[in-house]
Amino acid sequence: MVRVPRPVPGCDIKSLPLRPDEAYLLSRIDGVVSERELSLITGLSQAEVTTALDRLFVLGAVDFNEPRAPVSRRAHPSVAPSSGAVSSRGTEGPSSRSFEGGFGAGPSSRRFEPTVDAPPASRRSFEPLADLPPPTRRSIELSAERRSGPDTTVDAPPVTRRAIELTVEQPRIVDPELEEPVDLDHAKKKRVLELYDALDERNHYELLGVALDADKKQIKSAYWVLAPEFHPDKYFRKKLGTYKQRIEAIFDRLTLAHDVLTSKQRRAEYDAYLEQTRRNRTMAALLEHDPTDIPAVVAAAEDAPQSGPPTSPVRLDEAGASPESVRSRRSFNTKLGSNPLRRAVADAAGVSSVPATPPPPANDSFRRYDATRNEARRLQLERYVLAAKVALERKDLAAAANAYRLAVALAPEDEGLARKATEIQQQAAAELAEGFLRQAEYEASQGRWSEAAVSFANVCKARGDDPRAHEGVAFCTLKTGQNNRRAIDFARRSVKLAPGVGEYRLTLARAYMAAGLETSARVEMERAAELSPNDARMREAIAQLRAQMKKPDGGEPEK
Amino acid sequence: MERVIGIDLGTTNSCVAIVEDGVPTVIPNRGGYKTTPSMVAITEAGKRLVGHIAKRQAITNAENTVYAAKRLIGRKFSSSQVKHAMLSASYRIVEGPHGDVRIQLRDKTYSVPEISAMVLQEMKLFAEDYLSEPVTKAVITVPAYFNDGQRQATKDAGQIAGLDVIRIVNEPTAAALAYGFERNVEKTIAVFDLGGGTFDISILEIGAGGVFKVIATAGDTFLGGEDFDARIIDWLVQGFRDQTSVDLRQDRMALQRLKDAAEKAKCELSGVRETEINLPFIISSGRNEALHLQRTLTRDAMESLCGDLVERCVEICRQTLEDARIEREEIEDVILVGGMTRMPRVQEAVRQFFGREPCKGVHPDEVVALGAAVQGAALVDESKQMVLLDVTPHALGIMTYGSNFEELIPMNTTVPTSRSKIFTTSRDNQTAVKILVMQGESAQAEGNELLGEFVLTGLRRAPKGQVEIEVTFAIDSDGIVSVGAKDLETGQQQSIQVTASSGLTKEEVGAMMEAAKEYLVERRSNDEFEGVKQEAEKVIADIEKMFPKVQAIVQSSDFGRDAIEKARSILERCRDAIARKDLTALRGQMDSLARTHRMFKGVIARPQG
Repeated sequence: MVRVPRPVPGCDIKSLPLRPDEAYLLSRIDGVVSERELSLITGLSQAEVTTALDRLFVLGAVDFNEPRAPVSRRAHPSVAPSSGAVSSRGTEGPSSRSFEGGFGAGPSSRRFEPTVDAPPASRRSFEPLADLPPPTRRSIELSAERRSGPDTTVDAPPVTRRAIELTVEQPRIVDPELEEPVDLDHAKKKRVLELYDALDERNHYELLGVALDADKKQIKSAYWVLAPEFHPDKYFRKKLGTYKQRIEAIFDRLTLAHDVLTSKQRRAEYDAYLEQTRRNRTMAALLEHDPTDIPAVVAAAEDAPQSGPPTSPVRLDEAGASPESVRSRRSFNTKLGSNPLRRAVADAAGVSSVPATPPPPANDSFRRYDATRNEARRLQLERYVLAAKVALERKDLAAAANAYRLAVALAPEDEGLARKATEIQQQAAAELAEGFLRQAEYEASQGRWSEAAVSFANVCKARGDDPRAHEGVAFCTLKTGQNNRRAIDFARRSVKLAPGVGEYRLTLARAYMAAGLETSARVEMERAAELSPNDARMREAIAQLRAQMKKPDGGEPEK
Repeated sequence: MERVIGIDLGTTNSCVAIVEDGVPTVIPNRGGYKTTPSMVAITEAGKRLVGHIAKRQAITNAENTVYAAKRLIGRKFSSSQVKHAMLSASYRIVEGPHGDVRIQLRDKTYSVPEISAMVLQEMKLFAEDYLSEPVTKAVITVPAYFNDGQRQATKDAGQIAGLDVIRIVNEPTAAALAYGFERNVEKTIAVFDLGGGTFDISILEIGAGGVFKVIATAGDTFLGGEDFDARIIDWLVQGFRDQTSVDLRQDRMALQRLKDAAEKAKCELSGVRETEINLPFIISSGRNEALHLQRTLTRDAMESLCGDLVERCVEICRQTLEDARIEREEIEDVILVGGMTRMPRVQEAVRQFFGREPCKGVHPDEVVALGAAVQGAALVDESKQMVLLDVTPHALGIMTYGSNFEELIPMNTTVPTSRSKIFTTSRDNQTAVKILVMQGESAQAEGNELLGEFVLTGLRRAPKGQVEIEVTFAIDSDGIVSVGAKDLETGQQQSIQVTASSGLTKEEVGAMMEAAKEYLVERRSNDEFEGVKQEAEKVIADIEKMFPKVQAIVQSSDFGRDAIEKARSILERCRDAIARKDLTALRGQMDSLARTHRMFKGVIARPQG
């Protein structure tokens, strides 16, 4: 069962102890997007999304499934929500409806999509709202169901930043933070809270509100306007309470954004990093997720080269989060339909498997059904292979891998296809790993250790035998000062993979040291010293570690 | 709204300013000068002298006259700079209870902040005289390259002087504020500040809407006019020894005269090409015979004496631009600040380095105080559209094992700023963790300034590695460092004990503040007494002048003799009160004195019959 989370209206989100990734996830939940799609949109792994959703549910920020359609509109409450799939077909016109009617709703329709366990809810998001056919007697219940789909989009408040503001503005909700007695007016408090909460999810450009191609002057002008607003001097000797720390954090980030973007070199590095993260996220989403997601993913992947740096998944989710989500989804769907390739892929994924010819009547024999089915399957297979080749030409390994994967699922007996699929899959994984490595290196160079540790771990996923990447996780984790256990695990693995590298052993020794395992640390250190007797830097590091051990008591800071 | 004064507490001269009706104005001292020598002396009678008067008596009271105290503020007694200063100072520098520097004047030792407070107090009085209202809030400037200890000590000085120091501002930044104030320019500028004791270079961007953002700053807190003077003194001493084999350094009074002469010659050489240094009777030789010093110093000779000092300034500029990755061409204007920038050689070096003519629009001695006043006004007046984004000149970090320095906040980071670091325990049931906080650019801990030891105490008892403390290091807008800590698991704030490595404890500052207050009360009544005394003495002198005449006129009558007797006794009582410094008694006599005066004048004016 695919869960479709929806925000709980009136929930005071700001009062919840959310982590940034949870808040980010929450901001993408609109009662339409499924759990799986969320993973795609946010770039978080399936497991991370599940964990976060569970926590959000426990906190009372989200509910699951059964989107609340107004009772009055629910003509047949007994209709299973899964029949949403039906309604998506219905939009194609009366003929499809009759086709549908012939095979009956529900399970039978699935037989056309052997590889796809499409979450019905996810389809709703692609459904056009306009131009509903005039309801016939027969289609009344269908249209009622159909409405229940899109209606949720309208009724369940999309959790956007604006929605959060609305919640905040409702007078009956007392936000303890807004009530805090400080020398700031209400509007200012709101602005500070809003900006502070958005710090983690905004990149430098977004934070300053400048375009990706903004020149130095524009960046400076933006900073000249924002910096005075949040410089602590503007609140000189005022009572700020908890706002003080927030204002300072905002100012710090603004200044960092300015400093990075106004330095040619740092900006180039940062741009490359943004681009890299975007690519990694898209690719990871493509590779990790169920092929069901392919229409969105392929469309996203195709959009990417044309739209430039702001990632198209981001655009996609921004569209989804905006108040006009319904409309933009519609136009997205129209776009999807207009592109033959996308359409083919979309068809294959089961979004709208519309046969070109009117379907045979419902009471025809199974033989004819099988023939039709095989023909449909063959067509789909061709489309996948074509999609894969197009993707390969564009060097989009991830999309190609996915298309091949789908193709293989349709034709498991084709060994050549399977080999090709595996080969491309491996290439894609390798490219992704390379991308994560670059991301990790930038993050590490900026001292963003926890992020770097995550990125290195992503590299390890694809390269289980890369000692350098494992050591990277260990080193960065040590730097964060948290989770020494994890540091030890990764450092151990790196030493196991490359027993002859002193540097890795030193990291392991440090990890042991951090966890208080002095004996083990000493052993590793001795080995490290043996391995690199002539490396001056190593010698120094080892000497340092030795000094640390000699301290009879921990009267000194932990490294 | 209370007014905020801006004080440029200089090494050799100080200046005070205020924003009046939107215009930054320098407040003149009682002598009408816009700057006041940062000198303090204690006379033989135990009287405190500050400013011009202290400077004037310096030669005869060299051992008890403090100059250039700023070079010592916030430094450790053991530092090389203090050792260096001890060689040339004519006053006695001794070690204080915290390894800090104290100055011995007569029978009392003073901390450096106390000496600076005396100057600040004087500046405060000038401002109060000028404004005819009490002043308590001030912005005080410091060299941009001052470290935490020096800033803290300066703030302490302000507090001792009875000032609420609402902000410590960097001198070059203040100069830029005064330069860009309400001019609505958008420019990248360099401020070249070579003062009496310190050198600073700052690169700023002035943006629309009154934003002043410092991009980079650097300097040398022991490079200034004093060092130029020292070169000239060396040259004089050397030459004199060659001629007479007498070492003038052995005589503090001679040294003081040399210092005055060197400074004077240096200033003169900014205008003329050669000058005569003439010090008759500088010292007596062994045979009880007075020796005179007479030499001619040319500008060229002085430039070769001090060439390396100018070169050092240029080198720091070069390094600063390099560190900040700024091209010289990006600098659109160069401001010269500090008296030493009057030296033609310095101006020439700046012109050459930046490839442009320095800005002539600012007054090098007053601009810093003006900028401080501007900043003060901007802080208390919300309508002022101006904000200053300054940076920290030094990296902040902690000492790690093996005496290494782990940088937490890099230099040229915009302040205020903070960074957190997590510390864990390394022993079971460990209840305290010690952190050594340092400031500086060296990778080795010894190369940096130790700001203090912070001890996290009262940690909860747990197996090693399980207690995680998040320590936050913050630098505020004053450039002063603070440290806070919290237990990550419990969210409990941890107490931190700070042991200042030098400087004063809170209690000491409090006590010094009290002493300064007492002095002020005493001085206030003293001032008042002086006022009445002057008035009385004038009248007394007048009466005495008329006395013989009046006596001759009224002698004949009994009444007249009576009156004369009475007048005599009034004069006597007045003189007595003056001698005893008894303000109340003197006040009590003033009416009678005035009556006598009127009567005398009446007698003389009456036509003689």
